[in-house]
Amino acid sequence: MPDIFNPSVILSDIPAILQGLPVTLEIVVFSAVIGWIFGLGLALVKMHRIPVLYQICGIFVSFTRGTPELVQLFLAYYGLPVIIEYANYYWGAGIPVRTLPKMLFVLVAFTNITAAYSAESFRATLEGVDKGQMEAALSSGLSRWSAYRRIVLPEALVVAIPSLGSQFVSMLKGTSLAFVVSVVDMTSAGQLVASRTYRYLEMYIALALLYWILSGAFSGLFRVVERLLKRNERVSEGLRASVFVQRVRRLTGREEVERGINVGVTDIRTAKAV
Amino acid sequence: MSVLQISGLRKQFDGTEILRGIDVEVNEGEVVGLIGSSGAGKSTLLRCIDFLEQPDAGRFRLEDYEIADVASAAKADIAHFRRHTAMVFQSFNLYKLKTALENVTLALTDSRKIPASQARDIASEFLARVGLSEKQDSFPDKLSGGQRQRVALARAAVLKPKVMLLDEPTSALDPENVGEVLDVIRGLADQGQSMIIASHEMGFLRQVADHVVFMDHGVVEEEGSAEQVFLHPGKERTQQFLSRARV
Repeated sequence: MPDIFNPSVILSDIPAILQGLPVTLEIVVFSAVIGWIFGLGLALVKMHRIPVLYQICGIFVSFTRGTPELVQLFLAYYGLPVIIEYANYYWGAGIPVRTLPKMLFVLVAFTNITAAYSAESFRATLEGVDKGQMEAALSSGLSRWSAYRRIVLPEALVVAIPSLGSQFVSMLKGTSLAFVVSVVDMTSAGQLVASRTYRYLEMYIALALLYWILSGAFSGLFRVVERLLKRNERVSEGLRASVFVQRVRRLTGREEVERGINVGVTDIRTAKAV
Repeated sequence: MSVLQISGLRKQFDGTEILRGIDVEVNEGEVVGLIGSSGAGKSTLLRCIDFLEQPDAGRFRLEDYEIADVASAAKADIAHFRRHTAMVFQSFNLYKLKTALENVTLALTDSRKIPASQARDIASEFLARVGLSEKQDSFPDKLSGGQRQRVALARAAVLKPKVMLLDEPTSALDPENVGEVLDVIRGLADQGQSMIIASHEMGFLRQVADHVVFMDHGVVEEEGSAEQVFLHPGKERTQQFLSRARV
């Protein structure tokens, strides 16, 4: 059999690719956390139509959402050093441009992108929170900031989680662009391996599988977070068990089943077992 | 002794005058019933007192704290009024992600700076007073309308406001839930809580209100004791309204 495609290389490539995992996670987690904070700020500026800032934010969001991620990465890569050089020249900032870590440019670009995309999600969900919630808080003496922090933001966040989650996953995939500025993330690590083995297809299959698993894991994680935050919709195991019992009762209508189930049903697993 | 005095209150929305110079006074321990058809300005009046709407003109006095010109009320003035009044809304406005107990506790710990454990004890005592001890860990969406409004009443009462502002507290309820809420309000009134109640429950107001104010098109058309306004209304417009409202 000709050695055109070697599936075993897919597996053997994985450890080397995973060496780039910490960098991939660093990019996506850092840009998500900082980007969301900025995004929330942008949303508040937009909602309260703060003059000047409102226009600047509008242009920033529209520009960032309207240009390819790759182009933005290059803009940060070539643009930031220029800004720093000027700062050094005029204000004597003394920042060493040439030794700046490449990772910085990647983080700046991806933070911007996350901020711009999340701003819209935050704005929509914040505006979606019933005004009565804010009014109730204000009228009971809470400051506007307290009311935001304790009531409005948590409610908005719960609604925003699914869209933030899908943005996070698409950003995770987007981090594969970091290789163009020679930051060694998973994609870069994979390319390094393949450049030695010349097994590009096998490596890309391994890489694709890893991204797929990661995306699935993070999607799942966001669903869990959403469920945790929706604490008012959480149903206790006991209640779920009793609902299950009722359902069984309805379906069977048999007295003995009911009696059997009612004995010591403490959680849903027991109920199902019975 | 007068607790709250509102004079010359004006408010317009987009050029339409909703309140056209309102004078209202609430005495210590008094229940003031606010009646009038929908759109008469009852809600706007209550919301202006709590500065949920910015009044255009008028003078407010809460005990000896006076705001001479409410249109230019300072942040501290607004904070003072909000701190010493408490609003109960038609649509309850309970905090969705907080349990009944947390709804009642929040303002105690946040704006009154009462330690959490103490605040929980106070809140749970107030929930007991409205008959909801067993529901204190329930979230609003697991409560009936009547229960939600009782939590809202506990949330307002726990702050020991000088005046409680009730904006049609039973209008959003199923008829069978109205009674339990009215009972709680009556209980608060019996304990000497001063309040203004905007309501269409004429029979109830006739029983509990010490003073009744009939509003029409943004002005106080007639006011007096409950008996006087309900049984011997002086103005034709009041008679018309009451005959339609079937007291």
